[in-house]
Amino acid sequence: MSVRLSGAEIDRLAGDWLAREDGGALSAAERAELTAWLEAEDRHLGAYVRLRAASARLNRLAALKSDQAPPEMIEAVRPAALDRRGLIAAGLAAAVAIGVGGGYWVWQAPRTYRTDIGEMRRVTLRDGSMVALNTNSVLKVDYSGERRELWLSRGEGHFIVAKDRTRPFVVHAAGASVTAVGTAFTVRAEARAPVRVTVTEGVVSLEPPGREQARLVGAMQQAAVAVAASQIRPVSAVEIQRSLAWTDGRIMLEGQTLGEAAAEFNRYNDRKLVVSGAAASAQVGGVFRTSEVETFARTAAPSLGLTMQVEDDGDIVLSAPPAAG
Amino acid sequence: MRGAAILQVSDMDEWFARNVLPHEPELRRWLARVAADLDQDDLVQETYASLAREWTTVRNPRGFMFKVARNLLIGRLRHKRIVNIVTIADLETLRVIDGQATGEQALVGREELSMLQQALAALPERCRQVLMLRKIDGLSQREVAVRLGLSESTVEKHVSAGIRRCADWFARLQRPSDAIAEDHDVEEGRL
Repeated sequence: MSVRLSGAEIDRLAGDWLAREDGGALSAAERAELTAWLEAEDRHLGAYVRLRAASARLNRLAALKSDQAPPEMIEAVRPAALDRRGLIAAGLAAAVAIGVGGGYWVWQAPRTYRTDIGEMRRVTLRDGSMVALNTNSVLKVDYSGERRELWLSRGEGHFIVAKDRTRPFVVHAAGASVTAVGTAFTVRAEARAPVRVTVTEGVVSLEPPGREQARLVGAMQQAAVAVAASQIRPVSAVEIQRSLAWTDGRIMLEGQTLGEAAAEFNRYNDRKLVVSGAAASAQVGGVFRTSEVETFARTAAPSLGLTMQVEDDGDIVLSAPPAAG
Repeated sequence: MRGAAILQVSDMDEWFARNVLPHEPELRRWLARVAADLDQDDLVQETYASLAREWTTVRNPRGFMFKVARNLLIGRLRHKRIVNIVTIADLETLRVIDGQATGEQALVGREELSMLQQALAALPERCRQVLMLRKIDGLSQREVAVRLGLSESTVEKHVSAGIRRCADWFARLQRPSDAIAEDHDVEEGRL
């Protein structure tokens, strides 16, 4: 006699079977085992069929995939281990281990990382910290001093910081600096907009430019840095995910206006999306690849009743059709 | 034997995704109302099992779903000494649902995609990355493992957990069309 399992426990077993099949064809023995399990109880069969249906439903997401993977995705998802190896090989000649007090640190020449428009890079730094650098960004990394110092002179970076109490990790942007020990956060520095610091894990200390005192920004909070008075507000998990969608090479829209969506796409693409007049205030939703501005426009135009026009230089114009009569 | 047959049939998955999953939230709300003291997951799983046996001949999936669930409920209530009169009355109203030929209520196109994206957005980050690479980019579990620097068994665990979470997310969906369908039932019940 076996113990009666709860619905959730059966779901778990059914999900594990499904995932195993999803990973590759089952062996004859496994298939026999699964068959026996499904026939043992109605609830097993029901749970399994239900999860297969959920999985089939999720397959519809493939509609979001483009025919060819844009080149930046290849870079974007390169495994961290590879980056680290490359970096160590490149930096080895310049790196000299020197003793300081009782411990060691590895001296390394400052290095600058850049991304072009539409490009995204992941870099694993010497200490194991990871940086994802968004489109059109410049980041200088200097690990030669007692602090791990980084300068984001343009663009956006997401930082997952390796813990090291003795060496704070400091990101400078537009006169502000963000100090972390071990945490994860994003800094976005754009022309004509306040620097935004979004914390996904842990706590950072934010030093705004000017005379304002340092303030703590915690997990699930976002700070808009200003010379006079920086604003800190809570952000939801969904907002965080949306703001980090670029680390997967995507733009996630949920109720933003078409104008805001266009500005977002234009960060990643040389061919610009132009929205004229009243059309800019329509709300849009969906997940798109950062490079797929045309797919986005083709999807948005019919559902918002707009006309779409591709200019000679490749720019795309969305506008409301002229009023009838 | 029956189990072995199911492994081959992916048409069935698609049929369930289109005709059954969209009604699960409504079924669960109804079960919560008429049989709050019974195990809802059990009843839902058994309902799916019955559908799995007969799906090829089912014309009105929603009606069939509710009929099966009602029969399961009646079976359980017989084993109880005290039966709530309200429950019986509620079960009676289901006759209306049987006869009602509701068309497919599956969400379509953009609305469905946006709903699926919200389900993904609700997942923990790693799990979401795995499902996105698997379901949107169409990478195999092995390829997902290489890209994310995870072991294949970890990826498999994320797939299992991710699909379960999404299924539960679907089951809690609240859509305007459900409310309309329920109002409709009540109205016809008065006739």
